[in-house]
Amino acid sequence: MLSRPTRLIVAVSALSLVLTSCTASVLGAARNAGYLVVALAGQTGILDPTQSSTFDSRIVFANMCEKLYDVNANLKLVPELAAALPTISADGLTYDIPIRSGIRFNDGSALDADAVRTSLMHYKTDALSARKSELKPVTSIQALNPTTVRLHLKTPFSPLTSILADRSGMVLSPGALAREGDNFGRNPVCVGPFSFQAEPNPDEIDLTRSPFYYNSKSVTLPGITFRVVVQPAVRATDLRSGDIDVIEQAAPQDLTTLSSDPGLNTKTVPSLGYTGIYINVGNVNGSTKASGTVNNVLAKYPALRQALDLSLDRVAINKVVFDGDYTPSCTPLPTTGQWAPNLTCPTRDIAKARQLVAQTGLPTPITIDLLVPNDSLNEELGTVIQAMAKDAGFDVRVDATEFTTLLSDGASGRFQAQITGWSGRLDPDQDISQFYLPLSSLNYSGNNDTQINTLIDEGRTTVDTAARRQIYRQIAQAALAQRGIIYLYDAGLTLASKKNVTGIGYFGDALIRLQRASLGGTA
Amino acid sequence: MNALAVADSGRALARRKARRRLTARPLSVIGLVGVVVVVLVALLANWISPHDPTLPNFGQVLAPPGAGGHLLGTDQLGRDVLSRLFYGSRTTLVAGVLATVLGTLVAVPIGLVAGYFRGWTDVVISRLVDVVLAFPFLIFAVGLAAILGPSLRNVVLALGVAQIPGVIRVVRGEVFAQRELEYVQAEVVNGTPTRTIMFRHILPNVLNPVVVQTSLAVPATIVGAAILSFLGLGVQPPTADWGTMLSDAENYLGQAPWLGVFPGVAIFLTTLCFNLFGDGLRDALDPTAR
Amino acid sequence: MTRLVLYRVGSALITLLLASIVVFLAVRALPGGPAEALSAESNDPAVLKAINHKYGFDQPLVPQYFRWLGQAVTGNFGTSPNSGLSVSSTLLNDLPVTLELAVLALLVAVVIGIPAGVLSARRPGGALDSVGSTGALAGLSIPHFWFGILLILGLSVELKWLPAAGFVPIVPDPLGNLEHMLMPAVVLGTGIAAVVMRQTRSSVITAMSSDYVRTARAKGLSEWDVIGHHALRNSLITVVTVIGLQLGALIGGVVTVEQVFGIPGVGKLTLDSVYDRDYPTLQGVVLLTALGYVVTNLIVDLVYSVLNPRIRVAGGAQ
Repeated sequence: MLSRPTRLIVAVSALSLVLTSCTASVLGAARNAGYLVVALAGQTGILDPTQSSTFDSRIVFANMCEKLYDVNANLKLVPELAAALPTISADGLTYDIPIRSGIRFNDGSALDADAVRTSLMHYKTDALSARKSELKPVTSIQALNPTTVRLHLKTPFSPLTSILADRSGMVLSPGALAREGDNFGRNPVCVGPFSFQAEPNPDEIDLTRSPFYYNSKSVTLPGITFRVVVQPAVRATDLRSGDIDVIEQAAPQDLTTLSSDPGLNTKTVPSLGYTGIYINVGNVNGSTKASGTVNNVLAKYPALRQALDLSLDRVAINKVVFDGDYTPSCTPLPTTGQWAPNLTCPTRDIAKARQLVAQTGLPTPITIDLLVPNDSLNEELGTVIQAMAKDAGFDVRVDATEFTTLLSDGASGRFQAQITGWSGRLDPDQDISQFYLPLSSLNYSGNNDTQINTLIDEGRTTVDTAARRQIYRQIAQAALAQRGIIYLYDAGLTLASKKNVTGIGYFGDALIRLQRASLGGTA
Repeated sequence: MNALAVADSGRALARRKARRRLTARPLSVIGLVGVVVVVLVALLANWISPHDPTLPNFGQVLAPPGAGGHLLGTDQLGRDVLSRLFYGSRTTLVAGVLATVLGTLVAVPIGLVAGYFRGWTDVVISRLVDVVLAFPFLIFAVGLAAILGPSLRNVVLALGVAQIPGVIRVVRGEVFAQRELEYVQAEVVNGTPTRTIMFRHILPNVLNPVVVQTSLAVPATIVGAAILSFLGLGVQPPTADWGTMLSDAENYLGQAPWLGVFPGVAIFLTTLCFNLFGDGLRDALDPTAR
Repeated sequence: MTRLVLYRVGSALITLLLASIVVFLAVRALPGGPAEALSAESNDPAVLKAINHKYGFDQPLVPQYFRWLGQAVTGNFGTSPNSGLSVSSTLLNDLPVTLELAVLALLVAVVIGIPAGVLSARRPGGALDSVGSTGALAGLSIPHFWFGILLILGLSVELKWLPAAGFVPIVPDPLGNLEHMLMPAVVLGTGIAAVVMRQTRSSVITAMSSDYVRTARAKGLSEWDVIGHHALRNSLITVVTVIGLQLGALIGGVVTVEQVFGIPGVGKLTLDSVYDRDYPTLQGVVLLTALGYVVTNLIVDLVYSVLNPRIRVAGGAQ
């Protein structure tokens, strides 16, 4: 009944459909049964701890690349591949790290002090290593015996153990490293409950249960599939429709729907990092060059920075833009935990702000060009800041900018003010030094405050935790007064999962630990 | 009577007939009325908007339609949706119409040159046209936004450039055909300067297909502008814009679904009216065309 | 004839070459490079320099381009500095997904468009025709990313009939695959269905008044036979041509649809690689897209010029 051309069309369409789909599935990852599906908020980038530069890669590493040290539910440092916390000499210049025995990499080779040394040296010396600055104070590394590694430092550096609880502490299989070199990320081999299986495209990573893991008895899941879903609204809908088992960074807008859903669990932890307005107070030639005088009215008149700060209502910003789910903040330090400085943030004071503006004698309104990332939420934040600052006599122009351009402008100093964030680290020094010390590549603002610089140096060379707490509190107060960065909030990082997923370890560092996770009941 | 005069009087008669055909079809009249309405809204947005479209109102965030004097509700910053719809028509029209017109203005002379001179000029121009067509438009738009920053001006620029190849092809094709006709040959024999032939004689005859092409391109450009805004490449906040409103609405689908409906309806209806009118125009000017 | 083919193929190659040069230069004109795109958390200038050196981005432009070209013709598009994966393997993964989406969209377009066009053409100007034609215009006018959002709102969020976004390959789970591809295919196919419908309608109308068909009617064949077999068959070729020409619109639409529905295809890859300044991936994708466009045009051109005389003989169009 169908004419010949019609039949031809139908046949060709059906054939091409079948062909393309077969190709897709043959070349694509096998969608394995029983695997837990986790939606990540961003791409992981290269899966090599040496070169890794994204937050989401750390989530994948948390399940396939164990470290010398990790943190427990209370964010206290605990040994993971190390046997105990390091023994630090009295002068703080020698670290002895005991290594556990009987541990094998996911390719079956044995972990020993030599392997640890190889990894650390790789992080220190490889041309593409992003870990170099973290390990700068370490001058030499020795494998004293198969179960002890000794680090020599040129100056005391208290953040070191925390740093070894992040990527710099991940031990790579020496065999794989020797074989792959800079392409280690295509087939990474470490120690972990799961091992790398496949990465068919930048938006999907599959891990499979490792038979070599020293605690494989505790692992229930046969594997994990990480999928990148950038839009938070889509992550939430996928979770609710059952396509995905676990999502990270659920948007504040979706929190009510997700937490009231009887089939889902949610857990929110405050970010260790922050988001704030970076003001160009001295970045003339680039962040790694010496700071100088910048043609920025906010740099010339510190009182204007104070006026801007006083025109903002952090609580209202949190309520309007983030549904009240984030935590208003005015310091680079976390708002909870042992390093929280517990400062009282300034409240909105328009009268004082106007007075400060008037005292400068400048004609109002004062124009500020504020660069913001060009996504809806950040543009909203910029708009709210614009509305609030208007009352003090500022004309804030919201300049939605594409993300890479934003980074490039920040590093080169081609901006007046920009909204930027930092994902946060365990040690307070890592939340501060890179953004305030002169010649630091992340010091977009071009900060060079003598008091802050001295305190930073003190903070990282002091060993006693209580003393350090005091020092960082002082730094927070000094930063609040200097306002090279006007801190706004600490994001609330929400994990949402189906009720039948149990055993997820989700602590204050917002990493998703799935070693003891299991997928029960109706999958 | 010389060939030119015949051509001229023929054109005048054709124009009268076209106008009659245009007004005879009800759908195209509806389209025209719709277009006029949108233009009026854009011009009078200041006077007909009940609220300030960019003033946030933190106390009345995400109000549903009908609540507290907001006919279509408020958005995530408490701004009146209806007012933002009215003001948004401005950016839509500017992007859609201006971009198309600018692109056409640039493309017509190029097409004339390619069609008249043929030979190597035509080959070079045609290859360049092919390259522009083969190049994914969005990459160009994103790149432009990355270099110059997202703005309405860049949307117009990107969309205008996207118009050029299509118009060049249409003009070139028409000029090919016209070139061989008697009245042109007569002028060439008479020694009339090339420029006069091209612009005074051929160009008016080429205008019909160009007008049709332009009127059909405007709705596509309007949607293109909405897409660019939707991807974050368009106007800066807090300017009201239908595409940006839609991309904001994506985050609030669960809490405030109406935010995703109204701007889309606006784009849809505007595009539909331009399409209806354009269709009618095409039928009127060239009823034998498919 | 051979000269025609050679000329067309030659122009196609020139177009491809020019397109590859344009994207090579254009992407390097953007602020920041792949190294900068990776520098959000760590911005060591020595490392940035090493990254640029590893991939040869610090070489002078002309040898850099020719090195890339030489590798590209052998199918080696290099490595993405952002993901570390080989560009060709990512392309090989994403391309079938986009192709499946495109084929499904075309199927939707044909299944809706051709019958609608035929029905409208039976009685031009009648009630069915008015409804059909306005419907086609509506389909042309609807911005497809909005249409997608509406469908997600209605079918996923409210009714929970279909998953909102994401992708599942066909082999282990054909039903899941179709569930995920249905809405995107409908969204993409609607605009094309409108074009197909209008084209079918006008072709059938013209064909119906031709001698060939009048003879069939005179022979006493039924209405169905006349339209279904004779008019339609002749129109089908022009319709197929139009579908081929719509491929350009399809490629444009694919990007936003893949974005809205989270489909890991070439469209999404294109956008991502611009944002990431992923030079090798972007160059590979643009070359592929240009190739697709050029090949399609070539085929359509050649088919059309070969078949044209036949259509004229049958007393049909134009």
